[in-house]
Amino acid sequence: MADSLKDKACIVGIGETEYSKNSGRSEMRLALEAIKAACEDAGISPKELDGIVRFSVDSNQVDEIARNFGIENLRFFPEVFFGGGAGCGIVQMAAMAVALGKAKYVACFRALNERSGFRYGQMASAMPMAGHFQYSIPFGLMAPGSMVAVMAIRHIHLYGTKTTDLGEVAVAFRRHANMNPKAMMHDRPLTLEDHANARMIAYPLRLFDYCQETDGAAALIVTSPERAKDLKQKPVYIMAAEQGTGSWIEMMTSYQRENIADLEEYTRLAPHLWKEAGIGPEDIDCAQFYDAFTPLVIMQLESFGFCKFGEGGPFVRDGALQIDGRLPCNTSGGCLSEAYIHGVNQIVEGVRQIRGTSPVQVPDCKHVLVTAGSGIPTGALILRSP
Amino acid sequence: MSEVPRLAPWPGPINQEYYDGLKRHELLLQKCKDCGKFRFWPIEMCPYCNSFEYEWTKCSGKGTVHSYTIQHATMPYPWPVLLVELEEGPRLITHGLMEPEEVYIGMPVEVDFEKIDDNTTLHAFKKAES
Repeated sequence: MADSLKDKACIVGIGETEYSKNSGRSEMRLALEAIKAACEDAGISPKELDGIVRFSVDSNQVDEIARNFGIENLRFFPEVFFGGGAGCGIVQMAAMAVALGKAKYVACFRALNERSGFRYGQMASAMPMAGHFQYSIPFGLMAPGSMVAVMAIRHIHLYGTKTTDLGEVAVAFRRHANMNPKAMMHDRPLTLEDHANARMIAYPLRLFDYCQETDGAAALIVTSPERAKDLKQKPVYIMAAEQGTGSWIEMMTSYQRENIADLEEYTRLAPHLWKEAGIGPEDIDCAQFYDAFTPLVIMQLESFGFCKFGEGGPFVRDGALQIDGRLPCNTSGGCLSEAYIHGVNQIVEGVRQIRGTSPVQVPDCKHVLVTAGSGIPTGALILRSP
Repeated sequence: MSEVPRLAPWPGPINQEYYDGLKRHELLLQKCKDCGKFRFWPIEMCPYCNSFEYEWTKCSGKGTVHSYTIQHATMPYPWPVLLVELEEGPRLITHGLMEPEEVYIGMPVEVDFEKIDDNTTLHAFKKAES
């Protein structure tokens, strides 16, 4: 009986579409393109896939994907709920299936026309996603960013975090996007002054505290270390994969918690993650934090133990999160400046960092932390080089 | 009637009494019949002792601002949204009936009510009288 998932599975293929405001094609087409590209990257035929893991919120069903690829038999096809919180959970599902022999090659994907189709930032005008939003949206808390703003104000109140700290996060990730030709914000530089002068959306959050809205897809192929030996790419080992909720969990508004400035869903999973990996925050060469909004990065630095609670603001100052800083983060530009593929693009970037193929490469990168969506049931991964 | 268009909530079996109470200008919370603790928002079970037994109880309507935001986008003018910690313990999101620059964490507030359409009244919170 396996008592740990450590190094029992690896990521051997990555695939992406272009990232745009209007893909001009269906979400199914985007999913198929990304999965096909990930299979080609790995050096397998899509027909060899016997597992597919989807986001529950994805519009694409696995049977239709299997029909398109002409897959003879899928053996494993779970899904993970909670929006962007599913990002790392889908890889955890795949890794467990591979480790237990329930599948040989598992595709994990997310495909969405989030800009040209349903925009999450305008959920108040669309059909609400969960029943409990009736206790927030009708009062004027109009979108996920506003829900995070309530946590950010508390963080500022308790710890003295500054809005310029939020700016440091936005500027760092934009700098990386400026170096990444695939990033939606590749051609748009950003300064701290730009950040401070931008349009207020929900105090204290201004325009550049918000992520992109993107049409596109990203996919990963997970298999066993044994099978990885015969494939095209250097395998990227999954050292640890965890999911968590924290207490009083509800989608985006876990406001009954003792400390709403603590993203407990990460704080509670982090010890399990470090224990399984057998390493600590000091061993991480770069992190890919889910960054739908800038305060979430500051709070995650605390949850995962990169600094003490309350010190996330000071931690990010003076370019600490930039490629030449002490903890390079979101090296592709993240959700803030590369693309919003619900964080799956950030797992892809984590794989590139281990392979040594990122356009914003961290030298000698051996260990990467990747996290999934904040303020919701979520997950995290630690990836390592072989 | 609220001059700003507001999305109406969608009552169901678990929260009908809560919305009926708001129409009568009463803020009702579920109080556990076994352990006596209050909870919000309406759910079937007491998360403290797992009892199904509860009674709708009118709360004092007094609390303090635990956190807040000022919603700028999509609103015609800056709009305070408060996270109020009620005297009874639970916190709730509400509309703040004060100027945005007046809001601060720890501010004492008390319940008021806003009719948002013919069928719906919601709570809102104003500065406490004393």
